[in-house]
Amino acid sequence: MAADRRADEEAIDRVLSGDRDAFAVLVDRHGPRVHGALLRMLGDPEAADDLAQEALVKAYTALGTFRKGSAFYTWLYAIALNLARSEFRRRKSLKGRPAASLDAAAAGDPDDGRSNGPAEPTARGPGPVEAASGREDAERVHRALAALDEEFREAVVLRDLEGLSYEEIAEATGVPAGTVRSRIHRGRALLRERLVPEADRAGGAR
Amino acid sequence: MTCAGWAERITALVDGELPAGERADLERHLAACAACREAREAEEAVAARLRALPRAPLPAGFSASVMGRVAAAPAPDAGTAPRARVIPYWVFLVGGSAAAAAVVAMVMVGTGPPREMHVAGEKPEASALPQPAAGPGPVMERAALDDAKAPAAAAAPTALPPAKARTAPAETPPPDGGAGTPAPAEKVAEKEKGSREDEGEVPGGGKRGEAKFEAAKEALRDGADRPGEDKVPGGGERAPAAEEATADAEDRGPAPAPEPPRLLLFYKADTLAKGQDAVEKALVSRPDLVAGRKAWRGTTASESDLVGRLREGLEGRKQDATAAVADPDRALREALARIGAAGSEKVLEVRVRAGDVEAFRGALSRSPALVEATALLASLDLDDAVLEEMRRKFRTLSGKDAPAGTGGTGFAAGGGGSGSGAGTEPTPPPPPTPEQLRRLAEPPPPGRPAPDPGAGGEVVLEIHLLAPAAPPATAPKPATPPK
Repeated sequence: MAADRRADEEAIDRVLSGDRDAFAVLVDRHGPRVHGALLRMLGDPEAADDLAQEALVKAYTALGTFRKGSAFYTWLYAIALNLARSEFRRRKSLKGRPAASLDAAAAGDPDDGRSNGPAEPTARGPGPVEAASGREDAERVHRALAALDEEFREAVVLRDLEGLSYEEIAEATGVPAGTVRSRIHRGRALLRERLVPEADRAGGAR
Repeated sequence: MTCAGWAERITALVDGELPAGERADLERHLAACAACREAREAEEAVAARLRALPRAPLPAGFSASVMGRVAAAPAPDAGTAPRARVIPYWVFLVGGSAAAAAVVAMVMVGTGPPREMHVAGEKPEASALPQPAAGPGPVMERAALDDAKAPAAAAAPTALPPAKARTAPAETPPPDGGAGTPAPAEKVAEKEKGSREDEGEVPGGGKRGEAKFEAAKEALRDGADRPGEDKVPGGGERAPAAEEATADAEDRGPAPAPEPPRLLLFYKADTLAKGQDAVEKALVSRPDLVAGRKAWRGTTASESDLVGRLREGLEGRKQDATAAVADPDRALREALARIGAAGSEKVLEVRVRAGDVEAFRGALSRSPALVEATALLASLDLDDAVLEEMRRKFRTLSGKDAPAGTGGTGFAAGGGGSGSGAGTEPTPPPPPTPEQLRRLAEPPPPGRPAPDPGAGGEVVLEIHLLAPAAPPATAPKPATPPK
């Protein structure tokens, strides 16, 4: 991880000294995770694409304000989550109900674990054999995620899908680590409630 | 502890986030409690199912698209903590009518403005403010300038009442000799002329109000630079913001990009949700005006800081009326200094054709849920003496801004913005000549490739919603060190 951190910091330094193209390093390293997190948060591939790009561009223009004490990606997540929250609220205020569009994501679930980005610790897609049942399961999980309140979804997505530590999640979401833990706990519990019946049908949780 | 008490600790244990001492306690409990063991297994199972979700592939062209936008964005400035796109000052339109009664007040806040508050109040007849000279459709002028520092800019001012006088100087080509397409500029000019007769009808030319406002904005932006390094309570990084603003405005970075000029509008609402609703309704009511829009976004910490300060500064300002007469600069500074915790706000970017800005503002103002910043400013009870003083300051500061072919941060450099250290502007020069004023609105230095102003002279409106109830917690401070 230290090597990763260094790679990020070097890229940042180069960008700050005028090498715009060096930012591509950060885009390649962290774009997928931000995009993935936004996709899980919003459930809308288009919005996730747009906001992920926007988050990265914002990170670029504000790069001078980034303090190297923290990891670049937590800062990036924070920017992205802010965008997601605004988008979420906009939808809520317009439609009068929580965004249920994770169904869209569930329907268009990306294919079997192929990942275009750097290897993620959590990236483990079902193999070809399990593809079919994996997809169904993924869709169930997607829907269950969609039903969560935003703050629980954030915590669970950042923890279980993005692999951030409590501390990192705390930074990215702007709440104390204790709250993070509490939200993860609650989020998973809620997911469990939704998923258990199906898991039983499918022969039990994995 | 009851099992419920252990529940969260189990979560932490599953995640490897439980401190050693607590872990030992929990393990002991688990050894004796089947229910909790079950809970642990269930939690691990859910976590595993989540981890097993396939990663969404990055959309094709994602990186290229980001890098394309990066190329168009202002370069971050290592030395002065540049800000994201937010222009660190805001413009309040008081009155707003393009007709004679319009008073344009611009308050500059942001990058350490405290040192220098520029407030430009302009009575229509006074026209004292340089802005009009800078170009009635500053928005459009900028667009034109971005595109071609052409005589267009010169022609632009004609729309303003006092414009006549300025028309002459206006004719001179931009000092920086920017090349570019005269076409848009001419169009602007024509529009401007039209609007003069027009009493500020939207079509084509920037309405006078808009023009003044834009011009003032340009000038302020320029002036904003000066304070540059000024530290504002709550964040040194704000200083560069001004730099950024001008840099943002003027220096599109090495890569010229079709970046339309950007206007900030501030509105207050009872709650963010109500405000957003109102704005959305306004958008829906005038689809003809809106060329494009983005999603609402929360702000980054520094943006929030800025707006929080703004809000509190305004409210505090009311009490400063007396002090203001004696020293408006200081009064405003103190008001700003009454900065509390950063609030959060919502921002919506909307693309509007330059000529439609006024109409769009009108649509927003008609909403009962939104209080335009102008009303806030009006409530500050600034009297004429104060306004005049501020105007004078503004003029003085504006005059500093003679773009002298400086590169880098554009206005900052040209206008002697000291923020980024690109230029130094120690002493206020005499009031600017119309020529100089016109230059205020011009983009940067000679040799800079003329950026495309964007589709058909469009403007990006940043609609900032301020509401008292916004919890700061929703705006994480990315720039702060980890807890």
